Order: sequence, then structure tokens, then C-alpha cells
Amino acid sequence: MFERINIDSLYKRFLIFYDKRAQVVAISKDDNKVFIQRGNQPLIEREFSELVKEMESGNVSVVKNLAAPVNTFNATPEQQAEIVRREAYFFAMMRYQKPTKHAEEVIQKVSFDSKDPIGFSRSDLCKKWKVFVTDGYSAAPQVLCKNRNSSNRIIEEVEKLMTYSIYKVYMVKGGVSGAKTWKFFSDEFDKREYKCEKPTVRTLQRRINKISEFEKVRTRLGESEAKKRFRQKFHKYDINIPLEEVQLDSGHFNIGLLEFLGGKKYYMGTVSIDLAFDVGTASLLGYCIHVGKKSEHSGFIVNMLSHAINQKPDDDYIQFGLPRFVKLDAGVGYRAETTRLYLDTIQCGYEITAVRTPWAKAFVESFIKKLRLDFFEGTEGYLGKFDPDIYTDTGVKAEAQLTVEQFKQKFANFVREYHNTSLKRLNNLTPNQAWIEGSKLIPPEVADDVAGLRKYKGLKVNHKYNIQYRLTHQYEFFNAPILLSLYDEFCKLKKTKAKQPDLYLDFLVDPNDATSISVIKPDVLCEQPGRLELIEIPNTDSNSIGKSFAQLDAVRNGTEVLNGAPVFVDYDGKTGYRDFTPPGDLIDISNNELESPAEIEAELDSILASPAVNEYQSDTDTSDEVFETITLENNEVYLSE
Amino acid sequence: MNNRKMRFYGKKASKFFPSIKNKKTMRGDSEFEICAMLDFEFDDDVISWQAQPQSYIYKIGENEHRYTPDVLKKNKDGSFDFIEIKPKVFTKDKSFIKKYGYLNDFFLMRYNRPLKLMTEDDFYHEIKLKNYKALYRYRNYDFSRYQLEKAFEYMQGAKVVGDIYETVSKFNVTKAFAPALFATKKVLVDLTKPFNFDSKVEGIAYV
Repeated sequence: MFERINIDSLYKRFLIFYDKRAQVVAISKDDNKVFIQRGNQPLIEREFSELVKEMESGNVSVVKNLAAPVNTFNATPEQQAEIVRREAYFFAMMRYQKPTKHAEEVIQKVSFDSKDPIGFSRSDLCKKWKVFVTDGYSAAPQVLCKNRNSSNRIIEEVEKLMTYSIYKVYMVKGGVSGAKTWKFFSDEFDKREYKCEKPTVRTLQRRINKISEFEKVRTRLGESEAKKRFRQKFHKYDINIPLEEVQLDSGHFNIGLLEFLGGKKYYMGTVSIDLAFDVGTASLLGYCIHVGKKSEHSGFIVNMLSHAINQKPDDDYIQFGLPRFVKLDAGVGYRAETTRLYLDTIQCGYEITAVRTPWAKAFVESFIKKLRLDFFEGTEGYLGKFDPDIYTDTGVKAEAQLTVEQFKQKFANFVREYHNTSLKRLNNLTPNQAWIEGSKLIPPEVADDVAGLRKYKGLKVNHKYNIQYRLTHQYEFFNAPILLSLYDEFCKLKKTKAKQPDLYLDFLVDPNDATSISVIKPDVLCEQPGRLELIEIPNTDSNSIGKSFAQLDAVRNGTEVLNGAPVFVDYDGKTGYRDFTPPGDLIDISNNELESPAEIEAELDSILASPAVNEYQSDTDTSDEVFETITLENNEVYLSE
Repeated sequence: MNNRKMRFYGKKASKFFPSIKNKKTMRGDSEFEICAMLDFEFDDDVISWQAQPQSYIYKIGENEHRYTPDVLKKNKDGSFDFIEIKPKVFTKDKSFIKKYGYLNDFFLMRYNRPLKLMTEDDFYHEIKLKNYKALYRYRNYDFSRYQLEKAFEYMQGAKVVGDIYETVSKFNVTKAFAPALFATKKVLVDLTKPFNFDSKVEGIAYV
């Protein structure tokens, strides 16, 4: 588009005047003259006709000012609608030679035609029309470039007092309401005897409204509530490799199970299932069903991990292998010493999620929900999610119908069915198909020493060795010839006057398998002290094979279903509770002088060889700490004595 | 044990990394540090490393502060490096620059080596880390039970990763054999590009 040049349009315009930037500083319409400032030179005077000739010859050219564009990209739908509304009036006015004289007529016509409920007053439309013309016949600037900041009439001190009041009584835990905040502010205002006008409640409320909702909830109701109310998902999972990430969780289900033993019916308790869910292929990698009180127990979790890692006897259950990374919550059983020892043994990275953040392992939580809806709903004896506020005539015990074996079979069938059902998340592949597809490039890895790995059991127990009964756990007896030779060796090393010194042994127990226990060989008897050596000791009772301690307990201690109170088969696992040790054991660097390179290297080598951060290792005495400090004063660094 | 004692669980997630190189489980403060640890594992110039190696107490004015370097690593040439791993955006913070300056001076005085700062520019590559994560599990694969030289004779003509997998499928080995070749850099591929069957084989390092 060409610009039409006349003497008026040149005023204050920039020119390229004989290859140098210049500006028209004044014009004289009477003489038809233009005054040009070129750098530091004296003012140049030209007649307009002369200047036009110079422009035609190419010696002078007018610099075209760039338009300041309006940012319409960020316009909200409301702003866009407002632009369209105003343009309807302005375009109607443009038909007239003197538009403002026909403003009322235009308002009447356009508001009727476009069914505009807002409309315009005459004077308002005339004002807006003038802005529309000056903005180059565009309605966007007056909507989008509106300066909404009005000057503040409240003095700074009063503003500060308002802020102080808000943070003193409103933005605190269990803070008061907005009205009471204003009362506090009002009292303070009166005390200080300000002469200016007191801001109203509405003004204070506006200040409160300016604070972000998240911050308000966080300070008034607490961090947990704020997280719950404002939680958002910012990243997308794009894992499609098997075993890349496995999430663990336990679900407790309100369904009672029975057991028929010796021709009698026993109530076993409610069901809890520990699950290992593979995120990449949406497969259930492994699980452990246990019956009893609702608790998360390291014994079951190691059992579940063991199930997840090993190949299953069922040909359809193809999911197995060592996971690369496991996500678990801060439950007692998960952060137990034995669970983490097991994860370290299989060289699996793991993350213990923050407390009260179930969304950190959303996939397994979602699967538990699916279990409730698709599997448990409709199963005989299921009473729905436990709610302590609801009173019912039925009880879990009274409704119990399935035996443990029946339930296990039902659950296995459900898992098989689930693994062969196509999922939208996997692009309509079934979890089994996704597993096969993913395993082509990154196949699952199997543990080298599976038999050795099976010795790792979840529950750590400390018990005195008894020469007559050997080792006992929950009224079961465990013995093998190796125990006696172990004790003999211990007696020789002990060198005490007592004929039979006490030997306390740590052993690992799998609550779901009473067939055997794994004794941890004492450090003094180990060939390689510091390394974990496990010895498998079988149960002396041949009837215990394949049975859990709970099943054996039910026969021994349990009452029949119709007699008295239910017997909850529970385990008194104490693992996982850990005293938090105070920080300490810092390096002693009290030597101020620079050591020789050889000494430094020796020290650094010893640091590298030190054990890694393992919480479950015993902590050394920290009472004799000697620190060296570096004192930093006046921006100088020196080592203090 | 002279390591830093950290809270085991609580408001922050705790992350543990099993180091195959050091045969220890290390603990990182963040996913960012875990990524750096993964990089150390694949870096042939690093012989061994230790996360949160030692704690030091230092004073600024009257106040006592505690500092633990993120990593101490030993390089192939025998040198040691103390490393602080930080996202680049935090390194521009004035208080950090001041603190880092003090600590750097301290490590120079004490160990005659600076406290190195590692940011995402030094190790973070999204695709590379994704590949590292997938292949890391095969780093400790035991090749000693196989005749590798014989295996490589069959792999000589391989041009893409798929060819290696196809050849390996004919061997009497476990399925993890093929990816373990790439994880242990016995067969070289560009891991900064997506790792799939069509990835180009750049060479066989073993031969």
C-alpha cells in the first residue's frame, strides 16, 4: 500500500536525507516550506515541491513507521466476542458521512438486529468511535490494550496495615473470616489514629481475593488439603518397555474367607492382596494373597516380589523378570529392612514415594479400583469398601462363603482374563500382546541363582537356639543336621565356661510358606564376614508343605465359624519400625595443613570404599565427633583451629 | 559410616539407585541426580563413584552449615572429582554462587581439587537417558560362560540392531544376550538416537 505524501503528513517524520538519517522538525504551510534536522548540521530549509523532486530522484526517502501490532493471540473468548460486538456498531456507523450524528439510530438498529443485551449509550458509542478511528479503524486495541490500572487512593502505610492484618489473622492455620479480619484491621487503624478515610470491608476483601487460592488453602487448612484440592498432572507416561517401572501397593478387601480343615469350618479373616503392577505393559507382574488382619507386612511383600520375578507354572501367565525400577509407598512393610535388602540383592532401583501422595503410583491404585469394580463386586461374601460410619446387620464373618483355595482360583482366573483383554491405553493390544511386543527389544532378565534368591524371605525373626527343639516359629519346629554343627562350631569359638552358651539366631520367614525358614549365618561363623549367608532349614512337620502359618494356626488356635468371636489370624511382625538415628559421624578434617598427594588419594580411596547410604545398616557411635570448620568472615576463607 | 544421614521417608520421595559399577545401592536427592548416576555408570572414564560421600561442617559468620557433595568419582587416569549436581537455573542464584565460591575454596585448600559443578548441559540428553534406563539392567550380564569370539564371527555382517537380534536368536543363549551386547558396549550403536531394531550398528568393539 502506497502512502500519500503531503506537507502535513511529513511533520515529525524521519527521512533518509542523502544517506543520513534526518527528521522533519517543523513545517510552514503558508510558505509551503519544510525544516529538516540532519545530524548535528544547521537546520535545512526546503520547499515542499523541491523536496518531492529530491524524493523522486531517490536522494531522499521517507522512513515508514512500523505499526504497533496488537497481540490478539492471547485474547480470551470473551475479549474476542467483545471486539465482534463493537465492530458491529462501528461498521454500521461507517455508512454515514457524519457518524456520531446517527449514533442513536445505529444503537437502536444494531442492538435489535444482533440481539445484543448490553448495548451502548450514545455518548459512550461516540467516544469509542473516535478511539476506533484513531486506532486505524480497528476495535481490537480498545479492548485488548486497555490500561486497567487506576491510581491507588489508599496511602502506603494503610496498605501495609491491611497486608499485616491479613497475614496476622487471616493467612494462618485456622484463620478467621474476611469480616473478622476487617474488624482486626479497623481496630488497628483506630489505634494508630490515621487521618485519612478508613478502607471499607470490600476493599480489604479485594486484597484477600488477590492472594492465590492455593496459598490460602495451604496456610489456612494445611499442605495436605492444598495438595488434595489442587493436584495436577503435568507429565505423561510414555513407557512401553516391560519391567521399566513396576509399582507396588496393597489392597484390603472386605471379604471373609473360610477354611475346611479336619472336617471343620474355620473363619480365616479378610483378604489383602499385595500387587506388583508393570506400568509399561499394564500387566500384573505378581501378587500375594494373604488372609488375616489388614496390614502391610514385609513377609508378604517379599513373597509377592518373588512371585513377580519368577516364571509362573501357568503357561498363560507370561509376565516375569527382574524389574529395573520399583515404586513403593512409605508403608511399614515396604520400607522394612528385609524388603529393601531383597531389592538390593536383585539390583533393582527403587523410589519410596512421599507420604499421602497416592497419585505418585497412580497405575497400581487405578488397578486396585478396577479390582474392586470388576472382580470383587458381585463376588459372594464381598460387602463393599469398608466404611466405619455404616452399620449393617451382616458381618464379614457371617457372609463368608469362599474358601482360600476357591478365592485364589477365582483371582487367578480374573488375572488370566485381564491379561487377554484389549486395553485402550495399549492401542487396543492386550497386556499379554504388549508384553510380547515389548520383550522383543528389551527381553526380561532372570535371576542367575533362583534357588538362592528363594531363600530370601520377608519376615526377620530373632530366636534363641534350643538344643532340644532347635528353632521354633509360631509353634512350628525347624531342624536340620547343619544346625547342630553350626552350634558346635559356635561353642568352640565362644570360649566361655558355660557348657551350653546361648546362641541367638536371626532367621527369615515367609508367612505364606511354613515349609522352611532361612537362617542368617552369624558373622563369626561366616567365611566372608559382612556378607549375607543363608541356610535353609526345613519344617519337621511333613504336613506343613505348601501351607501358610495362618492355615496351620487356624487348626491349632482357631475357633469354628459358629462359635464365639472370629479369630483373626495375624502376624506380629515387628520389622519396619526403625528408630531414627541422629545425624553424625562426620569426617574429621582437623588437620589444617595441606596433606601430601599420596595421603589425599588414600583418604579419597577410603571414602569411595565406604558403604553407601543404606539406612538399615547399624549406625556407629556418634558421641566423639570432631569437626573441622571453615569460618568465613569478611569474604575470606580459612580453617579454624 | 561417614555418609550423610537422610530422612528415610516423609514429605519427599526417596530414590535409590543400584550401582553395578560399585556394587552398592546409592541414594540420590532427586531424579536429576539419579540421571547423573546413570551417566556415570555408562561412562568408561569413571572407574568408581560414591553418592553423598562425606559431610562437612562450615561456618559463615556465626552460623554453622552442613554440606555434602553429591558425588565423589574416581577417573580412569587416577584423578578424583568432587561433584555438585545442580540444574542450571539454580546455579544463577546469587546465594548459591556465594556458597559455591566458599566451598570451592575449601575443597581446593583441603584436597587440592575444586568442587566441580555439573548441570544438565554436561550429561542430560533425553533420548540417551531413556536408552540408558532400558539397557542398564543388562550391564552386569555374565558373558564369561559363552565363547564371544565365536559369536562375533557370526555377527560380522550386521548393519542394524535387528540383524544382531536375529543372529543371536540362533545361539544357545538367554534372551538378555543381545541387549547386553549394546549395554556393555561390545557392539556400538549411537544411543543419542532412539534405540530400536532399525538403529545402525557402528561397530563391534570386541573384535
